[in-house]
Amino acid sequence: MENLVVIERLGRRYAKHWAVNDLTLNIEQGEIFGVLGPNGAGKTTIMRMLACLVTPSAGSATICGYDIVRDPTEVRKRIGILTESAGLYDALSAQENLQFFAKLYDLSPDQVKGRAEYYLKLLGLWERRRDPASTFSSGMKQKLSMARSLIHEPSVLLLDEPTSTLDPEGAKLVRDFIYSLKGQGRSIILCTHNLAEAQSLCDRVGIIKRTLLRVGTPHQLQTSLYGRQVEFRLANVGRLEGWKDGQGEIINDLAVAVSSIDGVGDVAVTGDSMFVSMDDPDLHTPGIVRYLVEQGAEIIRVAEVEHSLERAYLDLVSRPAEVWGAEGEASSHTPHPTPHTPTIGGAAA
Amino acid sequence: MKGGKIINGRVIAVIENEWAQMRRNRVVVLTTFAPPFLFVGLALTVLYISSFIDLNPAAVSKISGILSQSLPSTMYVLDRSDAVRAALLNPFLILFEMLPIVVPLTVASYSITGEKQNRSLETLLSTPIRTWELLLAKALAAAIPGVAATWYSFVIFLIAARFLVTRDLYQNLILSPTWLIAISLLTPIFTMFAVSLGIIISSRVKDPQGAQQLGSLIVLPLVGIMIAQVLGAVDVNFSAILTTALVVAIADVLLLALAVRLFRRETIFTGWK
Repeated sequence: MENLVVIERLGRRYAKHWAVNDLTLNIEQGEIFGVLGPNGAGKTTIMRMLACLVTPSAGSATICGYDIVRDPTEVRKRIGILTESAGLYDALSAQENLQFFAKLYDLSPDQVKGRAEYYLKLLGLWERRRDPASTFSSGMKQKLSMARSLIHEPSVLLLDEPTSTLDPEGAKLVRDFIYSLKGQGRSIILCTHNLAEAQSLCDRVGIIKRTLLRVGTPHQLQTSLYGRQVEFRLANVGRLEGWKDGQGEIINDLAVAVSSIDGVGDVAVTGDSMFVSMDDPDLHTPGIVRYLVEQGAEIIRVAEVEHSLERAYLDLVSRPAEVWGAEGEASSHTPHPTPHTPTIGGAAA
Repeated sequence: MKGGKIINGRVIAVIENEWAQMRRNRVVVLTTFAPPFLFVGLALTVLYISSFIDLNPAAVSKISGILSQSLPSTMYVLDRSDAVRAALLNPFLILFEMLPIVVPLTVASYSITGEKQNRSLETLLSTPIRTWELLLAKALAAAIPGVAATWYSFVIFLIAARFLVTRDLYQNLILSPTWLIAISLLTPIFTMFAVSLGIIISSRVKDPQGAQQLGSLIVLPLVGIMIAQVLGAVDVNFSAILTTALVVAIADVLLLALAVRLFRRETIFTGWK
């Protein structure tokens, strides 16, 4: 797939403070890319630089091959932007709002009329096309604004916190619409605080705190941070033949034994369960199961642990940037032990 | 200016958008279109009342002297009644010039700060519209209604005044080249000057209140000219008007170019809250 957005060492400084620094990123055609970060992380500055509203202090970026500094008009023709506020004219009707923006993109009169009608119908606003935007709910305004940002069929869509001011129902409407845009060949950059939103919508996610802390698919981010872990829950840890009596001690001893198996990393124990870190659960899980059964263990659950993106995000943004380096592809990162459970040091995987 | 025609589709779209919003704002409609008609009513009332005023010969002589400077081709001798009317009417020319400036200036002063306040500026500036297209469109959208209202009301004044003044005064003062050129040429040129200044202020001031307060200062020089003319210190004659028109027209172009140079997208986004 072609990279529609190419960002190289992009930075923006306000006085002595770098709002964004050394950001390098490529976004493919058709990809929904999530930009996650806390307040003040530079998400909006990134969007404004890509929309040619703010000039970078360092680095470069191209959209559809056009440089954001040298060819701002060509870039703007190819992007659509949706900001936190709807950016509509309250006194104008829904149809007038769309038609006005369509004309700014030099669409023909037939296209202006046709596309406004298409999007109003698609978003369920056709019946209220003649009503002033001021009479719309915030969810409807945001939908109308979404239509505005798409009216010229942009190749790249920049969505800056599109659901942050909406109630849950309005947010769902907008999220569903974003999801429906998948597979239409346009790249979407979605800035959000909402981790569940990023997890459900985005093909890849970048965690930003002035610079790019980590990038990868939501699954990659989760697993790269904590490694892949498999839970083995045992039914009879207190009654294993050949092992010392007393629940807790036996499972700890068993965990030490498991951690010495090839391919196994750290092993953590919580209650009747062992959480075993490993690079490749598909390869190593059968061997561990076999070993546990040979020791007389009755296994009642074997499942890979799913870590939430939220936990990965919170862990990443709470650490100093230098811990992670300027940019890290999720897949290249060394797995870390699960922070919330006690661990037993094991053989390096 | 790159990008083909000056009045292109994007400029027209912004003008239409501005007008569509104005139409829905009764206060703007009223303040744009009512004052010209009020001025016409005032001028006609003054003309009517003036027929009851009598002047001494010395005053008539002085008025004739002033008028002979503004109307060099007019060598007629005013009778007493016409002298009074001419003296009262002449300052209305400046008032007619001020009419299309005051309200469009307010609209222009609000043009950029209003977009910012409405939170539509970011989406507007992320479209392919160029700065000069946006500012030209905003200036024209603010100026055209004011100029049109002035021309319209002046036509009404022309028709009504015909019944209130003598043929001599009507043809030699109201239909004089000085008045006609002033209304037809100076009105749009002055208006564009004022709205261009208003737009510069609007794109440099952070809030609409500040923009309007600063914008109101632009009218002061015109008020000064009017007072000077009433006092006989300034001659508003044909050649003066043509010279003024030329100078202000050049200033209009330069001001719009300056407005484009002074328009800082970044400052608007990063400096305005």
